[in-house]
Amino acid sequence: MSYAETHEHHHDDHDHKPTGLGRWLFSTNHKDIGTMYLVFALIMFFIGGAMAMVVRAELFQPGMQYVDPQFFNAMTTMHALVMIFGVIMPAGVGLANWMVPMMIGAPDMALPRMNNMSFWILPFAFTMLLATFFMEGGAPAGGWTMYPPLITQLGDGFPFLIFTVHFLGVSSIMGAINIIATIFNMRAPGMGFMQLPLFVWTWIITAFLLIASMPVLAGAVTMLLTDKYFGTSFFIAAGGGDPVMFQHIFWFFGHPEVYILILPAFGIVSQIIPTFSRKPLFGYESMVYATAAIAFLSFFVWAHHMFTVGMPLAGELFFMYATMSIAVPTGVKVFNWIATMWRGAMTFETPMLFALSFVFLFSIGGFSGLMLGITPADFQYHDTYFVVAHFHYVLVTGALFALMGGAYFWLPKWTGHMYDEKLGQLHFWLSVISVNVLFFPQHFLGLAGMPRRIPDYAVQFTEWNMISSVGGFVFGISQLLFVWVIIKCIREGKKADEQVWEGARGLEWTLPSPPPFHTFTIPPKVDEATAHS
Amino acid sequence: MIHELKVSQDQRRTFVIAPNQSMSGRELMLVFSGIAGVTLAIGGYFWLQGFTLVLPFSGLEVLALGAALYITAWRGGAREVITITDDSISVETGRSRPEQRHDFQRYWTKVVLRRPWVAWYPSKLLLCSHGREIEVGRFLNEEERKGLAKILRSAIHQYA
Repeated sequence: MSYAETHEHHHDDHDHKPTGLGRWLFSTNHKDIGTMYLVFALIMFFIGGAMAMVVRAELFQPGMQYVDPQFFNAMTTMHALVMIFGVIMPAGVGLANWMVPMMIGAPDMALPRMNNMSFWILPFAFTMLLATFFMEGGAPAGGWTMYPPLITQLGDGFPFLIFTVHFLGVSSIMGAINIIATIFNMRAPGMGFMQLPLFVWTWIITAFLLIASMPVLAGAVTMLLTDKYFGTSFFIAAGGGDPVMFQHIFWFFGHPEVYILILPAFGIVSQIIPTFSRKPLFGYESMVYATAAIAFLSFFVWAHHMFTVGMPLAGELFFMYATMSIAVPTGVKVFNWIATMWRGAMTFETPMLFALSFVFLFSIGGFSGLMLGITPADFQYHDTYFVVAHFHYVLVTGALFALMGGAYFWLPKWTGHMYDEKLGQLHFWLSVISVNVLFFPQHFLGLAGMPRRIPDYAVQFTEWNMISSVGGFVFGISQLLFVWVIIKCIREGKKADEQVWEGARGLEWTLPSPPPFHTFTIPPKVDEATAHS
Repeated sequence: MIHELKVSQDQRRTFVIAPNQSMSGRELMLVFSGIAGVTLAIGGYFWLQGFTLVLPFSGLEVLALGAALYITAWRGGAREVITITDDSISVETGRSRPEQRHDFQRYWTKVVLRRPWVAWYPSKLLLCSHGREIEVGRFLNEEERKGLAKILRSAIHQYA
């Protein structure tokens, strides 16, 4: 008997960490793919942010200053598409890729090659979308909701828009399938569903929402395509179709999409608050059920986006009450976050500051959402800047702030270095002040009657628009600081230990910082200390 | 995951190698049925309303989900049973029952951990003898595979 260890080629590196471009191009490692998602989201954040800067520059004062109305509309449309599909969603998937396998004690995602593919579709799809700026007819300018017949009047960019949406959908679905397969099949021995960290739970539910809603979007945009090029009349009134039905179908996807964007943020905040309160999450089970209830209800509220389109009174009442009812599980979550902090030994590091501002500012967005959900009031607010203020409070101070908090929370784990706390706090305070200067005045503008999606406006809206634009520019520039903090943290900083944060609990905090290339090479044992942390 | 069965009276040692799987095939089937039911019901409803192009996408997605869950469950059902007796080593591979069996003479068997030629591919653990080789522990992760190599070397060496 004898034994041997052979090398087909010599590799003395015991960690087996591939290098060079190939590492990223062909990577099947969940950490590498998670990093690529996060970097991609950050790049797209600045592209979408630059579009927002154009919008705010044009709206700084009444009259036409810098761009023509068509380009302005393209900016608002593309800003939304980039921020929703290119920033918030990929950043959430990036965090899931990094953290879910570590949190459940799995060595990697269940289908690593599909994971690679679902990422690499994204740069391809967004290159296609951004290329429409250089096509005859310009970039999509009919709003991210793509309502016909306006959107079908787009020039050569139209099929590219449709196929971009398809590619993004395919990428999202592959990601969702992978997350479901991973969480259902690869949990560490002893980790039952009610031991899962809440971030993992929110991702299970988000994946279900993606799977249920994405085919609806795919079908809707394909019908737009066939209406334009293949002679069908799904949404063409002259051919017997119904353009309003597109709005119903779109929002049947669109409202669950809102929760696809925000549920992972709930999960992140539910990890951060207990850590910096040094207490277990209050009401873990009720948090899980509340998340599931929000997701379930999200399929029955779509028409609150289109009350003014005309619908039977019974329909308006149904959608109004259904919308109101979402406030109940959301209230449970806000209550539980506050109860977690109650009498906790709280400290206010940057992730906690972002999480706290999330709770407060997301609640403002939630309350303005309730106002919009009241049908008669919505007739006043619809298509005004009040709506713009509402969804930016939900998506910027909600989803984006949670993602930034998550990035600060896990950066030491990913890089092995502590980030610069002073710069982190500076980034937070600049962001939180400027974002309120940016979006809060938009409530007043909307209530005063300023419509959304216009490049010019009546002079009485000037002051608040100026203030809003100044807030926007400061917020935009502040984000460069975020990039610097990340770069600095990757390159240098105090060495982070396994635990990183004193109050952190969970399997991911049992790994070294940074974790080895292959995580949990032996399935870890879950005990009370690591369960649902 | 590597389990060693209790050492038998005749000093035979048996190792069962299985992928970690946290849900049974039946449970996965239930999960799949639930998701597929909801997704196809939504697509079916739009079909009935005349918006026929939602359902094909729902169908494609359900197929993809089913394939993904099937592949993970199928991978999870794999078993390798390595039995080391006084003079022989047998490797049985299969699922619910042995489908293939390979026998080696214990004295001449080598345990080879072959590193990949490209670093991001996994290594291969081989049992080799008389020009024949068989790969074991394909579904283990890197560290487990290294661990299995160590266990097999020591087990084979121990009584040889």
